[in-house]
Amino acid sequence: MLYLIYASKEAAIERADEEGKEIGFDYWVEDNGQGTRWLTYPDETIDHMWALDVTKYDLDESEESSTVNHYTPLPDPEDD
Amino acid sequence: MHISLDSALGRQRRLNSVGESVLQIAPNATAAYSLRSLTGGDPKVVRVRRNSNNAEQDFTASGITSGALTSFVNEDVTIYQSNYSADANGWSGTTSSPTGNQDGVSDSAGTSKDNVLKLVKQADSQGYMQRNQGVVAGLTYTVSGSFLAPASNTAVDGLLIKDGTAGGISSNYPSGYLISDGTWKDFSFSYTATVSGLQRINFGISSLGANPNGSSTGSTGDIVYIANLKFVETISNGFVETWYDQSGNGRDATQATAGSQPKIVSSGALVANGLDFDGSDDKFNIPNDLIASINSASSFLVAKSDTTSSSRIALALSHSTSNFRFYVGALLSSKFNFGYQDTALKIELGAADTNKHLFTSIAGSSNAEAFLDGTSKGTVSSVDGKSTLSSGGIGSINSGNFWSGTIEEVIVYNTDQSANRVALEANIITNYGIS
Repeated sequence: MLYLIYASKEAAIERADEEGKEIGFDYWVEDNGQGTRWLTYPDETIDHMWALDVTKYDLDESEESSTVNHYTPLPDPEDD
Repeated sequence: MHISLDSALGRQRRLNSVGESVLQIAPNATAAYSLRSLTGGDPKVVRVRRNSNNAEQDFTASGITSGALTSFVNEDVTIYQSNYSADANGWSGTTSSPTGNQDGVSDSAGTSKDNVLKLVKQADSQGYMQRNQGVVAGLTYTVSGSFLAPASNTAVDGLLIKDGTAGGISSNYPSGYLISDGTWKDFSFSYTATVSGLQRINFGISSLGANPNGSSTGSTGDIVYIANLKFVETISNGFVETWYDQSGNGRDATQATAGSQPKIVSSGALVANGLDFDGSDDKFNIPNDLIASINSASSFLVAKSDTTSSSRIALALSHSTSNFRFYVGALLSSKFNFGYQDTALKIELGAADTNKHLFTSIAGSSNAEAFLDGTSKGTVSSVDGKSTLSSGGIGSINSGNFWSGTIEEVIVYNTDQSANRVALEANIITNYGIS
């Protein structure tokens, strides 16, 4: 898996939106606020950054050089 | 024989419920999700995205049983149509040096084609080009096009199209040897992919027989031309973007992220036993107002786990914060549980298995009780309060404890439905053949 790490959730979603538009998901095609919008959605990391799974994204050279192979997710206070 | 009034009323209620829909038996659900009609009519039940081109469409309950859903998902969609008018259209390979925009490529019979891709073999050893057309393992494709191996070649007499990039035996090439006698040849074949992503097209040297990746002395410089290459997805997967609420309250369960959508059609066939949750990231987000307190809630869940281990929750209506759990179909410690208040193991329902079950949980002002397939498994005191989930609800708690298996029906009330429980369970158990 490949991830890009963002400082804010908004920045990560902006990149996810860009990919969703590029793929042509229904949310962007129909422009009615319904339907699939993203290929992947960011997860919060343990250090409160945001990790976006970009394994299947079309990355530019700058992004390709910035990817990481793993991250530590923020633990969910549940459940055993 | 003495029959209590309660018992008699219950039996009469069961008799009355024959032929009634779930929402006719107990109309005031706050949300009701299923692939069957819960209303007695033919409501919209799901919005489905097909893998081939991400198109989406709504389906009613009858649209699922009639085959309209699978027809939509399996509609032929061209996922790749070559365009070599400017360049190699994304095909790359150091062993083949692909070059697009070749015009006036004539064969020995005088047929000429424009906008063709040219491959030149760079060594006597295996030569190929590759590209990712979006092929997905388990799905079926028809590949077609035209190609020419000039009569001037030393050894290359055609091409081979690979299932993925690995392997060197004939079965790795579902096209088999496609052979040209120095003239343009059309080809078409179908195959079911076993790997996703990159695919190779190799120079074909039919004299290599069962060892198509082998070396052929003198083949360096041999040429193959390709035109009008097309991949059509003919058998696909379908995923649910919206599980529509049939209660009339508009509280749809949604998943806008493609990678987290449960599957409803798998390799062309309707998934058995409902929607398939992959156990890693599939979930539906549900509105956070399905219940107001965990002491006034009823839920009926039909689910089937495909594992008996790990920590997985099929339905969560309230989170653990401040000890306000309401977890239904909670697979923990190799047991099914009703998670309530201060622990996810509040009422043990029995050893986990991979059978289909009806999980019922009902909480009123005094008690909360859990049932498995209509049999009570325990009662605890109820508490007032609720903790809102940040995401998920069906198939996960927030972003964890992902359900691995199928979920077929979820009905939620923000009231104590003890009075209707027997009739509702009878309807559900009969419909799904739960024993």
